[in-house]
Amino acid sequence: MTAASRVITGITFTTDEAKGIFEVEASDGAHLLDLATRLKAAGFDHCLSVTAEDLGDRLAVLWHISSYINRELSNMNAQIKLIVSKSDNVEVPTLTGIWESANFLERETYEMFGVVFKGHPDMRRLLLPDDFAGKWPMRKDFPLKKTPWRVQK
Amino acid sequence: MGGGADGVAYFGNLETVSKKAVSFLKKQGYVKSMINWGDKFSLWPVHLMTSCCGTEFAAASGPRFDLERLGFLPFGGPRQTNLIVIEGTTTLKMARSVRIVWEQMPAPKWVIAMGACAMDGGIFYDSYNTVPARDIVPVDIFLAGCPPRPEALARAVVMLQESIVKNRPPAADIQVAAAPATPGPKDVVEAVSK
Ligand code: SF4
Repeated sequence: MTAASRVITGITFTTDEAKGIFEVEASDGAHLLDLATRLKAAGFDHCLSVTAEDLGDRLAVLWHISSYINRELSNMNAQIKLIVSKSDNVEVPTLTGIWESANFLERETYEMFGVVFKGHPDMRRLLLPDDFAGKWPMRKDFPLKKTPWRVQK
Repeated sequence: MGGGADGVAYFGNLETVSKKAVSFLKKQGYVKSMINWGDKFSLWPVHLMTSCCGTEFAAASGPRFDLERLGFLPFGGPRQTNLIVIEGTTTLKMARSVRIVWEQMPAPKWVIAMGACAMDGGIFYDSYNTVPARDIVPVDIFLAGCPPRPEALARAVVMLQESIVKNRPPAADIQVAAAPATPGPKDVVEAVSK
């Protein structure tokens, strides 16, 4: 293991030990599925969380994965990242086929960030009220109701 | 036969006299002050825990702070209660439940908005999902703090008792009478999610 990267089954993770970050970035949807399949085979057996990050004109969709059975891998929370350009309904492939526990997490990412996971078995809202009027409340361009001077944006 | 305070005396038919005596007592405010006295020591809140302030509410009702000595006896259901303490943040979904619970309570009813979140959002200020308590129901007392300590809740209850004794009508009576129509939960949500 080096300070700046770590290799698992031929996949190079960029690391920051102090912050506990192990990250691999997928270049596109096909690459993402390929990465996920290989990581599952290497011992990452569950998905911890799915979220997204608003980078202005792009969105970074993040899957955090870890392991229960493999002692060495269970110490790390690895992160798979896919950067896509921002639009109303961003489409990325789902990883529910590989990690079943991503199901609800991807639904939450859908309602908060407007990321549509293609191939997801049940792409509905999870927590928001059914008649919630606005779109994608966690994106930075979501219009808020009050004066923003108290809130850093 | 019969009689009243301040040297007033009534004579004649028992039925007429008792009616006169009752109207005298009502006019003098004795009946009202007795009802107020009863209300003052039976502020029974419905325990609707919307957020983390609910832990302080629970502590206040527990043996150490024991708000029951002020007549503050939490109930599970809204039908026997006359006070609702909005215990912290209300989300859009919870705002509907709060409104429904409030509408089920018999009058007269009072509302205490507990915590910074119920006042103006608190740490969730300007969120897409929080509703200030005043947009849901008419509020009598705003209680600051994050969370307010049980002593603060006791203070709010005492303040409410004082206002009852001073014969102030509940905010529900004032504001519902002033409003053109009672806003339903749907209207609340629409007003907020714009
Ligand atoms: S005011 Fe503080 S303690 Fe109360 S609900 Fe809000 S965050 Fe929680």
